[in-house]
Amino acid sequence: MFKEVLILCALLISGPLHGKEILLWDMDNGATISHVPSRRRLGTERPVAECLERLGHRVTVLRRLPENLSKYDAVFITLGYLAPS
Amino acid sequence: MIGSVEQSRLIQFIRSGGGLYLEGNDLYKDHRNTALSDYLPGTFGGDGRGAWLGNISRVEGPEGTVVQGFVFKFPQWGHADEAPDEIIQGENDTVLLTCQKGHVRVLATGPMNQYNVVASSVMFGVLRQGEKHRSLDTLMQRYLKFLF
Repeated sequence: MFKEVLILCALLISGPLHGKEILLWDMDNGATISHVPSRRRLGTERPVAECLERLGHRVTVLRRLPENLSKYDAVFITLGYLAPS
Repeated sequence: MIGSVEQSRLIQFIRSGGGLYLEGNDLYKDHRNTALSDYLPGTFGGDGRGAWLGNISRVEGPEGTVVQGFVFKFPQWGHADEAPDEIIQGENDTVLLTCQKGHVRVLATGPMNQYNVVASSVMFGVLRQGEKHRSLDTLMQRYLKFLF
Protein backbone atom coordinates (compact mmCIF):
# COMPACT_ATOMS: atom_id res chain seq x y z
CA MET A 1 0.00 0.00 0.00
CA PHE A 2 2.77 2.41 0.98
CA LYS A 3 4.61 1.62 -2.24
CA GLU A 4 1.48 2.31 -4.30
CA VAL A 5 1.00 5.67 -2.58
CA LEU A 6 4.63 6.54 -3.32
CA ILE A 7 4.21 5.66 -7.01
CA LEU A 8 1.01 7.70 -7.20
CA CYS A 9 2.73 10.69 -5.61
CA ALA A 10 5.65 10.35 -8.02
CA LEU A 11 3.27 10.32 -11.00
CA LEU A 12 1.37 13.34 -9.71
CA ILE A 13 4.56 15.28 -9.17
CA SER A 14 6.35 14.24 -12.36
CA GLY A 15 3.41 14.79 -14.74
CA PRO A 16 3.33 18.60 -14.75
CA LEU A 17 7.13 18.82 -14.69
CA HIS A 18 7.37 16.93 -17.98
CA GLY A 19 4.58 18.88 -19.62
CA LYS A 20 5.66 21.66 -21.97
CA GLU A 21 3.85 24.85 -22.84
CA ILE A 22 2.88 24.64 -26.49
CA LEU A 23 1.19 27.19 -28.72
CA LEU A 24 -0.71 25.71 -31.65
CA TRP A 25 -1.35 28.33 -34.32
CA ASP A 26 -4.40 27.21 -36.28
CA MET A 27 -3.72 28.65 -39.70
CA ASP A 28 -5.48 26.13 -41.91
CA ASN A 29 -8.04 28.62 -43.28
CA GLY A 30 -10.93 26.50 -42.04
CA ALA A 31 -9.78 23.29 -43.70
CA THR A 32 -11.17 20.09 -42.23
CA ILE A 33 -10.07 16.49 -42.44
CA SER A 34 -11.88 13.22 -41.99
CA HIS A 35 -10.77 11.83 -38.65
CA VAL A 36 -11.41 8.10 -38.94
CA PRO A 37 -10.94 7.12 -35.26
CA SER A 38 -13.61 9.56 -34.10
CA ARG A 39 -15.68 9.43 -37.34
CA ARG A 40 -15.83 13.23 -37.35
CA ARG A 41 -14.63 16.01 -39.60
CA LEU A 42 -12.16 18.09 -37.65
CA GLY A 43 -9.98 21.12 -38.17
CA THR A 44 -6.48 19.97 -39.11
CA GLU A 45 -5.18 21.31 -35.78
CA ARG A 46 -7.49 19.20 -33.62
CA PRO A 47 -5.75 15.78 -33.85
CA VAL A 48 -2.39 17.48 -33.26
CA ALA A 49 -3.68 19.28 -30.16
CA GLU A 50 -5.36 16.16 -28.79
CA CYS A 51 -2.20 14.10 -29.28
CA LEU A 52 -0.02 16.68 -27.52
CA GLU A 53 -2.48 16.81 -24.62
CA ARG A 54 -2.51 13.02 -24.36
CA LEU A 55 1.27 13.21 -24.02
CA GLY A 56 0.89 15.54 -21.05
CA HIS A 57 1.61 18.91 -22.61
CA ARG A 58 -0.39 22.10 -22.16
CA VAL A 59 -1.70 23.31 -25.51
CA THR A 60 -3.11 26.73 -26.35
CA VAL A 61 -4.84 26.90 -29.74
CA LEU A 62 -5.03 30.36 -31.31
CA ARG A 63 -5.93 31.70 -34.75
CA ARG A 64 -3.48 34.59 -34.47
CA LEU A 65 0.16 34.48 -33.57
CA PRO A 66 0.72 36.44 -30.33
CA GLU A 67 3.40 39.11 -30.30
CA ASN A 68 5.09 37.58 -27.29
CA LEU A 69 6.03 33.90 -27.63
CA SER A 70 8.42 33.78 -24.68
CA LYS A 71 6.09 31.75 -22.45
CA TYR A 72 6.02 28.85 -24.91
CA ASP A 73 8.49 26.00 -25.26
CA ALA A 74 7.33 25.23 -28.77
CA VAL A 75 5.08 26.63 -31.48
CA PHE A 76 3.13 24.28 -33.74
CA ILE A 77 1.64 25.64 -36.97
CA THR A 78 -1.00 23.79 -38.98
CA LEU A 79 -1.30 25.27 -42.46
CA GLY A 80 -3.56 22.55 -43.82
CA TYR A 81 -4.15 22.29 -47.55
CA LEU A 82 -5.98 25.62 -48.01
CA ALA A 83 -3.61 28.04 -46.30
CA PRO A 84 -4.18 31.60 -47.56
CA SER A 85 -1.43 32.89 -49.85
CA MET B 1 1.40 31.67 -46.25
CA ILE B 2 2.90 33.04 -43.06
CA GLY B 3 3.26 36.84 -43.27
CA SER B 4 6.59 38.61 -42.91
CA VAL B 5 5.76 40.05 -39.47
CA GLU B 6 4.85 36.63 -38.09
CA GLN B 7 7.92 35.07 -39.76
CA SER B 8 10.15 37.55 -37.94
CA ARG B 9 8.47 36.66 -34.67
CA LEU B 10 8.95 32.93 -35.29
CA ILE B 11 12.58 33.39 -36.31
CA GLN B 12 13.30 35.31 -33.13
CA PHE B 13 11.57 32.53 -31.19
CA ILE B 14 13.64 29.68 -32.66
CA ARG B 15 16.84 31.72 -32.43
CA SER B 16 16.06 31.96 -28.71
CA GLY B 17 15.91 28.16 -28.47
CA GLY B 18 12.19 27.56 -28.99
CA GLY B 19 10.97 24.53 -30.92
CA LEU B 20 8.99 24.96 -34.12
CA TYR B 21 6.79 22.41 -35.89
CA LEU B 22 5.10 23.32 -39.17
CA GLU B 23 2.86 21.26 -41.42
CA GLY B 24 1.07 22.05 -44.64
CA ASN B 25 0.81 20.67 -48.17
CA ASP B 26 2.42 23.79 -49.65
CA LEU B 27 4.65 24.74 -46.74
CA TYR B 28 7.85 24.73 -48.78
CA LYS B 29 6.39 26.04 -52.03
CA ASP B 30 4.72 28.99 -50.33
CA HIS B 31 7.76 29.98 -48.29
CA ARG B 32 10.46 29.74 -50.94
CA ASN B 33 12.66 32.85 -50.92
CA THR B 34 11.22 34.10 -47.65
CA ALA B 35 13.15 34.77 -44.45
CA LEU B 36 11.64 31.69 -42.84
CA SER B 37 13.00 29.35 -45.52
CA ASP B 38 16.53 29.87 -44.15
CA TYR B 39 15.40 28.24 -40.90
CA LEU B 40 13.46 25.29 -42.34
CA PRO B 41 15.25 21.98 -42.71
CA GLY B 42 15.80 21.15 -46.38
CA THR B 43 14.40 22.95 -49.41
CA PHE B 44 11.48 22.79 -51.82
CA GLY B 45 11.85 19.85 -54.18
CA GLY B 46 8.58 19.77 -56.09
CA ASP B 47 4.89 20.49 -55.81
CA GLY B 48 3.47 17.00 -56.07
CA ARG B 49 0.56 16.22 -58.38
CA GLY B 50 -3.12 16.97 -58.17
CA ALA B 51 -4.98 14.70 -55.78
CA TRP B 52 -6.94 13.12 -58.65
CA LEU B 53 -3.67 11.61 -59.90
CA GLY B 54 -2.67 10.42 -56.44
CA ASN B 55 0.54 11.14 -54.56
CA ILE B 56 0.85 9.42 -51.23
CA SER B 57 -0.63 6.13 -50.07
CA ARG B 58 1.80 5.36 -47.28
CA VAL B 59 4.53 7.07 -45.25
CA GLU B 60 7.31 5.36 -43.37
CA GLY B 61 10.34 6.08 -41.22
CA PRO B 62 13.71 5.49 -42.90
CA GLU B 63 16.17 2.88 -41.64
CA GLY B 64 18.73 4.06 -39.14
CA THR B 65 16.53 6.82 -37.72
CA VAL B 66 14.46 7.13 -34.54
CA VAL B 67 11.38 6.32 -36.61
CA GLN B 68 12.75 3.22 -38.32
CA GLY B 69 9.94 0.72 -38.80
CA PHE B 70 7.13 3.25 -38.45
CA VAL B 71 4.54 2.84 -41.21
CA PHE B 72 1.33 4.83 -41.56
CA LYS B 73 -1.43 4.72 -44.16
CA PHE B 74 -2.30 7.98 -45.91
CA PRO B 75 -5.65 8.87 -47.54
CA GLN B 76 -4.66 9.05 -51.20
CA TRP B 77 -6.80 11.09 -53.67
CA GLY B 78 -8.45 13.21 -50.96
CA HIS B 79 -7.82 16.81 -49.88
CA ALA B 80 -4.84 15.68 -47.84
CA ASP B 81 -3.23 14.36 -51.02
CA GLU B 82 -3.57 17.65 -52.95
CA ALA B 83 -0.07 18.43 -54.25
CA PRO B 84 1.90 17.86 -51.05
CA ASP B 85 5.40 19.29 -51.42
CA GLU B 86 8.40 17.06 -51.95
CA ILE B 87 11.33 18.13 -49.78
CA ILE B 88 15.06 17.97 -50.51
CA GLN B 89 17.10 16.95 -47.49
CA GLY B 90 19.91 19.27 -46.45
CA GLU B 91 23.34 18.05 -45.38
CA ASN B 92 22.62 18.09 -41.66
CA ASP B 93 18.92 17.26 -41.69
CA THR B 94 17.18 14.14 -40.43
CA VAL B 95 14.49 12.54 -42.58
CA LEU B 96 11.57 11.41 -40.45
CA LEU B 97 9.02 10.22 -43.02
CA THR B 98 9.17 9.37 -46.69
CA CYS B 99 6.27 8.35 -48.92
CA GLN B 100 5.98 5.02 -50.72
CA LYS B 101 7.84 6.56 -53.70
CA GLY B 102 10.78 7.57 -51.54
CA HIS B 103 10.09 11.31 -51.58
CA VAL B 104 10.88 13.09 -48.30
CA ARG B 105 7.75 14.37 -46.57
CA VAL B 106 8.83 15.14 -43.00
CA LEU B 107 12.22 16.55 -42.15
CA ALA B 108 13.88 17.70 -38.94
CA THR B 109 16.94 19.79 -38.31
CA GLY B 110 19.80 17.47 -37.50
CA PRO B 111 22.15 17.40 -34.52
CA MET B 112 24.63 19.74 -36.24
CA ASN B 113 21.94 22.39 -36.66
CA GLN B 114 21.52 24.93 -33.89
CA TYR B 115 17.75 25.30 -34.33
CA ASN B 116 14.93 22.93 -33.34
CA VAL B 117 12.57 22.66 -36.28
CA VAL B 118 10.39 19.87 -37.73
CA ALA B 119 8.66 20.57 -41.04
CA SER B 120 6.10 18.39 -42.79
CA SER B 121 4.21 18.44 -46.07
CA VAL B 122 1.79 15.81 -44.74
CA MET B 123 -0.84 16.59 -42.14
CA PHE B 124 -0.35 14.64 -38.94
CA GLY B 125 -4.09 14.25 -38.35
CA VAL B 126 -4.76 12.20 -41.46
CA LEU B 127 -2.18 9.49 -40.79
CA ARG B 128 -3.58 6.06 -39.97
CA GLN B 129 -1.95 3.31 -38.05
CA GLY B 130 -0.33 0.86 -40.45
CA GLU B 131 0.69 -2.74 -40.28
CA LYS B 132 3.58 -2.03 -37.92
CA HIS B 133 1.15 -0.88 -35.20
CA ARG B 134 3.13 2.17 -34.18
CA SER B 135 0.79 4.72 -32.71
CA LEU B 136 0.55 8.37 -33.71
CA ASP B 137 1.38 9.28 -30.11
CA THR B 138 4.72 7.49 -30.49
CA LEU B 139 5.37 9.31 -33.75
CA MET B 140 4.65 12.65 -32.06
CA GLN B 141 7.01 11.72 -29.23
CA ARG B 142 9.74 11.20 -31.82
CA TYR B 143 8.98 14.58 -33.40
CA LEU B 144 9.18 16.23 -29.98
CA LYS B 145 12.72 14.91 -29.47
CA PHE B 146 13.78 17.37 -32.19
CA LEU B 147 11.95 20.31 -30.61
CA PHE B 148 13.00 20.26 -26.96
